Amino acid sequence: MIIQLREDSDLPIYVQLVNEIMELIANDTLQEGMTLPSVRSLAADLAINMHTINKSYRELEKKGLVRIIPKSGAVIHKRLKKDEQIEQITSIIRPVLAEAHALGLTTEDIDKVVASTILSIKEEKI
Amino acid sequence: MTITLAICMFLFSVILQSFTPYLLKDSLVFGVTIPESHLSDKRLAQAKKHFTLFSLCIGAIIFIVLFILFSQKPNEDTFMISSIIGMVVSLLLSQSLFFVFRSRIARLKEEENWRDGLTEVRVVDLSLRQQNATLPTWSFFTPVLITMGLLVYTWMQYDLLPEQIPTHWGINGQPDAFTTKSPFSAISMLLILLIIQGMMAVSNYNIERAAYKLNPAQKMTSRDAQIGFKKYSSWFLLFTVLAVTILLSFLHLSMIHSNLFNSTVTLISPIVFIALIFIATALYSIKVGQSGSRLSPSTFGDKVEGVTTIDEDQYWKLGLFYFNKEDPSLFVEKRFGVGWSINFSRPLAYVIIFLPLVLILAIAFLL
Repeated sequence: MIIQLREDSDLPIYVQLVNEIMELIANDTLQEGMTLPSVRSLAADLAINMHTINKSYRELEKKGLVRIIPKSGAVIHKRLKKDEQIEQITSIIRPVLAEAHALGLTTEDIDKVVASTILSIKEEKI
Repeated sequence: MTITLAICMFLFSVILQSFTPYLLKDSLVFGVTIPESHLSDKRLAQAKKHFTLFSLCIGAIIFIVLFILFSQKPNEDTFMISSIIGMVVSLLLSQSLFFVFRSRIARLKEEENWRDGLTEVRVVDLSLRQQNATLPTWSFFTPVLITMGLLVYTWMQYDLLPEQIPTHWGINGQPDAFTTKSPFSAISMLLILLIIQGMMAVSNYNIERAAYKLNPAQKMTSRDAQIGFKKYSSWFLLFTVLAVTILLSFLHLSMIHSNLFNSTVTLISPIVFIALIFIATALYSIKVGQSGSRLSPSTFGDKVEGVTTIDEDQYWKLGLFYFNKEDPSLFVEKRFGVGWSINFSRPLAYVIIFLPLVLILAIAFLL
């Protein structure tokens, strides 16, 4: 269950943290009902501000992957509302697809990228 | 006896201090973070060697001065005090030596841009927080029960207590300073014992909550080292608190019942205590090493190129004091030595340092 945040990344720390946790959920390392470490202990381990961790946990809650329960912390809880989620993902993926097509990638190329990326996310399970 | 003990203490502190660079992890040389790519730089090994040699020389010179002083056959008090002064002076000199080497290494690193080409990565293992590496803090409250029992017992046996309550003991276990009997002076030592027990429990609690600092270049190896470091730190604390509890309970009981223990037991118990604490400290420092670096050789083969830990040099003022407002940790690993230090950016740090001091001084003042 290792998470790594790179200092040289263009992405802010809190976004990197969200992305890493999402990968762990995607490959079932973090399963439904498991609790994420407390904000304080995660901030201590990473030597970063507690607000940053809080921001990541809120973001995960907004995405419908985590439920923040007072006193017990952030629990993995996938909200299942397929239509809503398709809409959510579409809005995120749209500019990426536009960029891909603008660069000349075919639908087939993109399908390949999607398939191989999903495979690599699933394989990362430790 | 006193002479042998003073000499042993002096030699122990000089040797441990001199060899400190070898008890530290490779990536921290004189409090300077060394990137993975430069760990085998010959100048680092040389600096460590020079520090040890210089430090031992300083120790030897002070030892000779003390020896000349001792040959004048001074009384025990002058003797004890001069060897403690000698110990402090050698520690201070060796500390100044540390500053010299630290600035030298820091300059090298700066001038030759050692950090270029490596990415700093923060690593955390979420599963580490699912169980504690330390002993549960409640186990530190079992010695408190002994103190409580002794408090009750002292209250019941108050009439048996001598008119003069001892407040200080010589190394032979015999009291050498006294105060008049009162309900407060009768229990003052037990109160001090309670403060020590409280300090140890608070330390254990904070070590449990302290950060697991993983090295991105060796994730699994550093993970195991960190778990071991917390575990043995906790055991070391428990051992210390038990030893102190036994010694002070013993002294307290021999005050109530002057004939309870025969003189041999009284004579050797403080020495046994000091020897045990020294052995435990040596074992902890040498076996565990800084952040557990000496616990397990890297058997994982988990070396990763191109990454390194976050450089925290800027947060370590003088290479000794950690000030980091962002970091919520209260306890942090020592920078130059084996053990724990404190994050001075947290107001609570000052409470933890000064509260026990103030309480103990208050007890001494009220006696």
